[in-house]
Amino acid sequence: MTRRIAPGLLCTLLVLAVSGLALLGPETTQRTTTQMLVMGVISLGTYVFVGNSGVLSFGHVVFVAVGAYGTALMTMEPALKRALLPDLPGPLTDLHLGLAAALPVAGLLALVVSVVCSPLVLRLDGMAAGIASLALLISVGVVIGNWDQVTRGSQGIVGIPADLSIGSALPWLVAAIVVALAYQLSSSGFRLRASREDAVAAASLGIRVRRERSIALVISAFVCGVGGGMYAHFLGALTPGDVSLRLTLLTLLMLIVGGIRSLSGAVIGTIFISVLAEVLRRIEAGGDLGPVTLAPHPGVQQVILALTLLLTLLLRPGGITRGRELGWKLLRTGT
Amino acid sequence: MAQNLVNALSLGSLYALIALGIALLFSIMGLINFAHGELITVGGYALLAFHRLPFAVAAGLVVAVVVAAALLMERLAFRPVRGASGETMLMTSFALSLLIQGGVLLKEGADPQSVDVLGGLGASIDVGGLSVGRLDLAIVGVTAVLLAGLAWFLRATPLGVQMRAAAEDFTMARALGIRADRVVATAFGVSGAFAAVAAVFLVARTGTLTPSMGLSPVLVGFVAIVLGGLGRLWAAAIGAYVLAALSVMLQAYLPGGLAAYRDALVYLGIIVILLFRPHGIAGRPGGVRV
Repeated sequence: MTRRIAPGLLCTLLVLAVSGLALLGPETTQRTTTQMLVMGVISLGTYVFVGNSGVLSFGHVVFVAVGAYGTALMTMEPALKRALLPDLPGPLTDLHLGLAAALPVAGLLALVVSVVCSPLVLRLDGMAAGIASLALLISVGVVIGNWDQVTRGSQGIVGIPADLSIGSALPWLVAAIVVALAYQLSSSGFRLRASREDAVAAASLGIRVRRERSIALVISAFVCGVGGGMYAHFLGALTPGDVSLRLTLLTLLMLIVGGIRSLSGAVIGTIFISVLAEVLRRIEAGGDLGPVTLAPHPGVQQVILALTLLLTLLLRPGGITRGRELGWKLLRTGT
Repeated sequence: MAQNLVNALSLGSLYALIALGIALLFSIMGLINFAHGELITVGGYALLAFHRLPFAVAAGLVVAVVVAAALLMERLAFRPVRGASGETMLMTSFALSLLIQGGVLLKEGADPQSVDVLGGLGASIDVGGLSVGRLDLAIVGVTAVLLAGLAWFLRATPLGVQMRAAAEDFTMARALGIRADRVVATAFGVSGAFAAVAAVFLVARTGTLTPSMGLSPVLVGFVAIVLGGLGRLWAAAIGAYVLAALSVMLQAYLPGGLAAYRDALVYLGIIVILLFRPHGIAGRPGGVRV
């Protein structure tokens, strides 16, 4: 039993260690770490579906968007909502939940959306699924950008309580790890991974690939929705650009560099890319870095992150973990 | 109505150039090249660099630069992942797209830049009561010539025939002695040339350059391909014209409140088409290979 849950325990320990270190650091480091924890939830949510099924999805940011806007509307001050969004339906305007109560609701909202979108995933795979999920992401982006009554269109929503901290984000990430682990240890998880390895062989053994995929999709959407809600409370303001193709690519970058076929890969990739992105952000902003002074170079971060992804795909296609999970053995050989 | 038709024809030609560049690579090696948009970006900025030269020279140089970029892309990034899964190749093209975009951002900055390449093309001429831009005529004309040229190349030259064979069945074509590297490199070269021409026309139409300018053309290209039928070259061109017509008509006839949602409607339409015809309107369903 301990062997089976080892990846979850070790990933949790890893996240706790990084967060603990960050708590000793200055406020900017803490903020970056909070962002890392949020991205952890989003990439774990995406992993539950993409990692186990092997079907690439660009659409998961749709669930993040639903969770983010849903949470924002549930947790903002009613007075502020009246001012910003006068056309919002009355009950929604008066609704005022705390973050902890709003996040599960956000997850459920995303889950409902995923059920609506599930024919996409169930009927298509391979390239058609990729393109269709991309098309979905773009059309949802257009809707968010124009639905003035609810999302305030391209102006975006401001005044969301930006109260997410390391302490309040951490339990949710740990919960996401538990959910992802529980799914991959479940019999549905095993069957779905069998279909990832060989869909035809799996189907011939009586595995109903579509059924397993829809189970994974629903769970994954829920986790992504929760991550979206956390994202809203991390940012404090939401514009359509926050939940666009950029976020999709960042999530996939983390998953692929870490290793898209394992839970440990999702967690390690998130930590690795977050740290790298933060270092690059500081280089990009320029200024004094101890002995050297740098001029601002916008674009450096994007170039290096893109190179990281490219080199991973070319030289180590399995990512850092190569699809393996963290285990006790690693600790034993490590010491 | 006739004015809309002219617009649709001109827009459709531009879309067809972009879609064919992407479809060529997809049909041969199953690659969805997201970085095709960045080839257009590179072409746009190359045009900015050369725009003081005579137009013909500048256009020639732009084509040379973009073709070189496309060949470089193939050699450094796509050759190593050739034969990998479609998803891996797609992510590779995403990485390349981000990389080039970041490079342009680093060199040129994020601010939009404007470039005037129109010259005499800006004027309109009067054809039977219709005002037709010379640019529109140029786009439609050049695209027609390029499409005819590509058709001739694919039908009448040995390399073109090899490319068609590779598009039919890449493994079999290799087994019969077709040199894969040469065929794929040629495809990238042609794709780059089409991207360069598209870039010139696109910049001539809009007059502005940004590092992320390649995104919407490449999406349009994908949509056109899906609409026409995955893996079929000429279907992609047809898809491009259909998409342009749809887009112009929706723009003209959608009631005011819905016009903002035009793109959402177009993309949702794509999803619906994919759901019912996963291989596109004119595509052939392929069985599962075990």
